[in-house]
Amino acid sequence: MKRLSNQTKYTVLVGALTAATLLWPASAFAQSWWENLLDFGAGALTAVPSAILLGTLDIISGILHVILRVAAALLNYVASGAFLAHPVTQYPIVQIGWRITRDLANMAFVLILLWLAITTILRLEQYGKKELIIRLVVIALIINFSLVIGGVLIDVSNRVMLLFLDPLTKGGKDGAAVILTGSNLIKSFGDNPISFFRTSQQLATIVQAVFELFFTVVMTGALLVIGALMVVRVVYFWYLLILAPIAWLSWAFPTIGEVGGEAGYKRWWDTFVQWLWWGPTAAFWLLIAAIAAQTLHKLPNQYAAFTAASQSNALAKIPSAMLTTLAPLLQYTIVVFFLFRAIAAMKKGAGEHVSGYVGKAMTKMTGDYLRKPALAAWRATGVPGGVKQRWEQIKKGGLRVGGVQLYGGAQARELREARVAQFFGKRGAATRLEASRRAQDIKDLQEGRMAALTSPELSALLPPIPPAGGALPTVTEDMAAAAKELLTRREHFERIRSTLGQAQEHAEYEHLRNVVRRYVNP
Amino acid sequence: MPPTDLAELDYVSEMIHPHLAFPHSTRAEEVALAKRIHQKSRGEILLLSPTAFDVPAVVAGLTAEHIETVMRLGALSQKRFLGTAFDVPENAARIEAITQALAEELKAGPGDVSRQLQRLRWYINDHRTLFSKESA
Repeated sequence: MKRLSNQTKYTVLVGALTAATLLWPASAFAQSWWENLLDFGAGALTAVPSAILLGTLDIISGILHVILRVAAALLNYVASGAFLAHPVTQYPIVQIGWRITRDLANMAFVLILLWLAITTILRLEQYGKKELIIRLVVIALIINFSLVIGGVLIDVSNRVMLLFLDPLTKGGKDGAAVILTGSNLIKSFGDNPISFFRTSQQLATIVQAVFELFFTVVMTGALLVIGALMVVRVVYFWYLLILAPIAWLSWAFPTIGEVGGEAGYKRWWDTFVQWLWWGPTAAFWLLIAAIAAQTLHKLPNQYAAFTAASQSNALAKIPSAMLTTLAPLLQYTIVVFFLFRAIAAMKKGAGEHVSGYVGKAMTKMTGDYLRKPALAAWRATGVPGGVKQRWEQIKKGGLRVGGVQLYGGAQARELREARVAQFFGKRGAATRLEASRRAQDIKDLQEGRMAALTSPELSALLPPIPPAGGALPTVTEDMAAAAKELLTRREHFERIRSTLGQAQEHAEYEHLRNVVRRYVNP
Repeated sequence: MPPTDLAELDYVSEMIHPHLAFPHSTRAEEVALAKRIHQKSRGEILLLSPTAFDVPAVVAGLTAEHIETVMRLGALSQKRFLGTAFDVPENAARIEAITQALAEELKAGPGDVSRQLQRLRWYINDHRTLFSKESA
């Protein structure tokens, strides 16, 4: 039997794959017997690439699910009573830190009182002493009870949080798992190998896998950010409680107590209240997300009912596999929406620094980690760069197909303009342009050719150095181009200098210049 | 080849081979060449032919920034030539004399001149070991 050439084999293979790819979407909606046949036929051809694609997606998904489980574990811990019910004021770091700042603030009080005594003795009435004394007493009380007051407010906030989170985590329940219901969307095609040979089944599985991967990334990010923010919230409370005495002391010094153009105590209070609010708000949205995850998975039945009810409709041709793919996606979108509400509450509410980080994290999640790798992969194919290069070439030099010039480009436009200018009296405009283009083309060709030659090869093209007082023979274009090329080669001069000395280097330089000059001015 | 090639030729000569393009047989010519080199940007210094660094007038025109650029980004051949610039006592004396004359022209103080020279020597000596390592 005559063996097929490699080219024929590739042509057949590429043709079959192209046909299968083109028929894939069409056959995915197949209903009649011949459409079913097409579904199986195209499906058999695309089974191997589909399996490779799905396998790759499965590996990526597996890695992501490990990270997702870590995020879920973190969230479970920080949303549990064990974490939230522990009073923030009981941490040694807060107690010791707060005690130091409180003592510092009390020392400042002594100084203020001393200053007040001196000004009273000297009968200096400025600075509104009476008002200051009343305010000082209030501030002294706030400072010395700041830990207790702050602790009570934080406990109230945490209790409200627990009210929302208890249904999710009470009794060691896996709250994060509730939110992640149905996260194992990729179903093994090995379970039903015959149906996998159908194009429609492959398409449905791949679409499902791609979307599942996308949502896993988004959900992992969302759970990680919420979990991390819960931890940051507690650390921020430590920081605020430790600084509380100093912050409230700034109330006594309205001008010098400013931080970033705002009174220190006011800034402290605003940040404190924002963190107090964020906890319960985020917990509420987490609960809503969990409810959505628990209840919305009944949607596929509704889709099936819809399919059954619309047999006469064009939509009825959509296979049920596709509908069962789309239904969980809708559920995921809703869950993710509520998770993002929990994060967005922080964006609006919490301190500027954290808000900035949250904004960046959200941008990273939705932009950098999804869009950028996709763009990089697209660029790596070389298609966008190649298309751009070709487009620039077409813009400049025009487009010629099958010997017919379809578009002239910028160069043709310039030539037309020059011809019109020549017609209106500008002498030789077009002629000069054409001559200069021809010369440029020749020069480009020659320079390209010369650049490929080695220095000794270029030297061999040159005329010999004439004896003292002698003239150069006729210089050709090739000679001049070789001389020009050699002039730019530093290693050529280095070699002459090392082997023949400085005088010879100078002589070579002059010779090369003379060759070029002689060619330009014969 | 259009006549513009002559301008291109002069430009290439001045950029790559200033020591061949400009005469430097008298002290005044040497100072003029040193001044040209002194006024070059860091990027332009990297374009110089390695053999240029063997010429006292060129070395005298180099600034500390130029030397640093060559050390960091220059070709090994450039570094090798620069590394031996002060090796011949006659050349070292000429470099010193040109640097002083250049400083007078640029209205720099005598202290500046000796500092500049000292710096050049330091840079070259400090990097000499590096050249030998790179050569190896």
